[in-house]
Amino acid sequence: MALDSMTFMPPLRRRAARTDLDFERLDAAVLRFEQGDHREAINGTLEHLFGKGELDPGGAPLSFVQGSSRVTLRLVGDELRASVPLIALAEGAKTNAALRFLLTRISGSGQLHQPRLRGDEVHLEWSEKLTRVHPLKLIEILKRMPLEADENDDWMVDEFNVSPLAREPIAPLSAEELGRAEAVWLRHWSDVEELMKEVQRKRSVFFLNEVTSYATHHLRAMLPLAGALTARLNESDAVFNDTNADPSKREATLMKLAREMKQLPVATLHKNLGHVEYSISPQAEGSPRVLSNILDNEDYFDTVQRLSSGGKTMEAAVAMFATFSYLLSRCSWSEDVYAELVAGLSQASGKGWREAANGLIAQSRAIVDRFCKGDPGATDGGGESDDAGNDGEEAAS
Amino acid sequence: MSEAFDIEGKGIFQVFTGGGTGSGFLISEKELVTNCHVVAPYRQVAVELRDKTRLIGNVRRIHPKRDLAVVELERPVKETVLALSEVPELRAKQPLHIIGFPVGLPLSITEGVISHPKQLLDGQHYVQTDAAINPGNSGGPMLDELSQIVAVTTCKLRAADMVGFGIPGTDLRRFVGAYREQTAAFGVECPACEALLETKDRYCDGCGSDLESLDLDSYFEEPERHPVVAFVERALGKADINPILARHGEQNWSFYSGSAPIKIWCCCSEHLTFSSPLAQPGKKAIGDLFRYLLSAEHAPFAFDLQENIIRLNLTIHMSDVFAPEQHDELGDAVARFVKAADVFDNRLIEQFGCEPAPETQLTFLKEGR
Repeated sequence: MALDSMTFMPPLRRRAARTDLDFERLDAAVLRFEQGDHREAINGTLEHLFGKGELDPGGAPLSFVQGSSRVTLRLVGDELRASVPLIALAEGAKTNAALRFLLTRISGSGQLHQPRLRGDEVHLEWSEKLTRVHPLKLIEILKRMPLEADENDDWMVDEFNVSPLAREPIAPLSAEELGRAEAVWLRHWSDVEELMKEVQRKRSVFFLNEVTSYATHHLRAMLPLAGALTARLNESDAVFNDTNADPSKREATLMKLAREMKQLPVATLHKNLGHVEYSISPQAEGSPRVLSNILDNEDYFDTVQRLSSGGKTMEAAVAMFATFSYLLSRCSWSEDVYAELVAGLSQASGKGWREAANGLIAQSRAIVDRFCKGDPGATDGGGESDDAGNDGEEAAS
Repeated sequence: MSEAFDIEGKGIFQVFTGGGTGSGFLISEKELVTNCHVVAPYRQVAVELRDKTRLIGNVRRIHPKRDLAVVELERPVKETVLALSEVPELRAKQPLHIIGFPVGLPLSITEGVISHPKQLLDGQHYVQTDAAINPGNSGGPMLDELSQIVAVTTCKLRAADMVGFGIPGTDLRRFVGAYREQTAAFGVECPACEALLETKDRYCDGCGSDLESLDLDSYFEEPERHPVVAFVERALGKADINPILARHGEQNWSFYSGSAPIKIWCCCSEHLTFSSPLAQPGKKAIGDLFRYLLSAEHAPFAFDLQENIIRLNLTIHMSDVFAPEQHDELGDAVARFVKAADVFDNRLIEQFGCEPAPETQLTFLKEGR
């Protein structure tokens, strides 16, 4: 049966505890670093990230949890060392495949941390002389390294039969929550499958982009996914959300994923759900500027309005659902912004395409008016292009 | 030109600076012509020979308006010097061949016809062609069917298909002739009267043109080095690598440490990457090899696999680049990395049965060429 509306159910994923990062502390930490007060610069950076935190000069480790990973930070002589346990090679494991995966997907140029094998244990590691621990470098390590471990540990255990290594427990969902999660899961993939049929019918790259965005962000905004399944979803996301890739390849990848996920055994879904704690939010910090850039983007909303008034109300409504889902999934918001975003989607849920599109457009305007107008940080400040143009010649060097 | 044309050994080389890469061709065993925009504002450039070794080239004469330059090589090169065509008039539809290094690829040839033998553009005449011209072709020769040079590749129209331009042979002949009479180490031709300017001056002695308004100042000064460039080139100096020979475009460097190729680039705004593609896994003892590559003993370096190529990497954070007091120690780390790359490619082959990566010079060095 053809899809005639979008559905939004109350999210099971808990709103991320918002850490109001104190950037003045970060500025002060940078200043301390530049003045050569390296240990205080590290402590200032930890205060910026966590609100508190101090390294023990005696070398006792400081540790914190990021999802299923635990980061340990300690002073050893004149070095700062950070590590996150990842996996352990075990008998019966597909060792070569696991090691190749580590070398191709987790090792790499352009990153400071690296996987290191110690005996049969693999840890993500980084160390640096204190005099070179710039606050921005430390922030990069403390954010990226555990996130990488969190994204890959369960998947590696499932895929290569390696053993988990010091994996942090994840709070399970209640029976009632699991029931709701199943309903969200099935409805999501069923809707995505129907939307993909519409993509094939309408042959619009704009619509394809919106549907692929919706497929990713709606699910992440709704469900507390935690486990190997996330890596599987990420793998496909990287293809179907790649706007430079061949559209037919993107369509085929998402169609295949939707079919596969609809067939996912309930037990597997349950195993991959859990309320995860993050000491540093993995989400971007939601701000009036982000809201303004997304919900007050003139070109984008002109396109959506044009689709809506031109009778392409399904495209307009799906685009708005994708936009709201993106904001919920990618950023951490204050309680009132979060509530307004959820309210917009709740009101549009189950409504006809035109009503849903117009309702979400109106809600966007209301959110921008309430949270962005009058906020000096909400605009880019304008400015004209400095492209002076030329006569169209291009040197061939 | 015969149907099959051997492009090797024809004295056409790739030219590297800290601003980009281009092509150039010999006009004698020790002199090369290229475009001014390929070399300027650098006074020393790198010229890569077919065996991947690089020579320093000293820029001797440039003509910014006509986009020509002569580079003197540090030693003679034994390759063919292509002849400059003596034919006075070119014809439309005459076959034309462009040889050079498009988009950094190895020496390549494209062909087409002369679309217009004397196209007027911005007050200058050009040979217009429909033969494909791409970034990297600049400064390479345009050849007729007798393999003689009729023009120097210079640019194409961005907003059009297959509209490329060459500097006519008559202008090239005049420019090279003037260079032959030059005694100064370096000179810039006045855009208005073509008199040679040996030093920076406000006005041209010959025609009185205001040279500042023509923006000629910049050709007399090496560009100020970006902190990233200053950091890398100082570190390369510590590794006994001549940074001029290593330049590979803007904030990019490439060179060989023994047989190991080393590439340096800014992969993002936060990191400076040093990477060396060393070898490919063999068919045996893969597990031992992978364990060795992941071993903690290699820190601060790390191996990875890019597809099936084993690379040795070193990443430096930008905060270190902007901390001069760290440069000595980090320079030492870079020097260790450069030396380690040359050791590891052999070790991976001898100890773990790996195959050389396509870019290494192992085969080349073994053959003693």
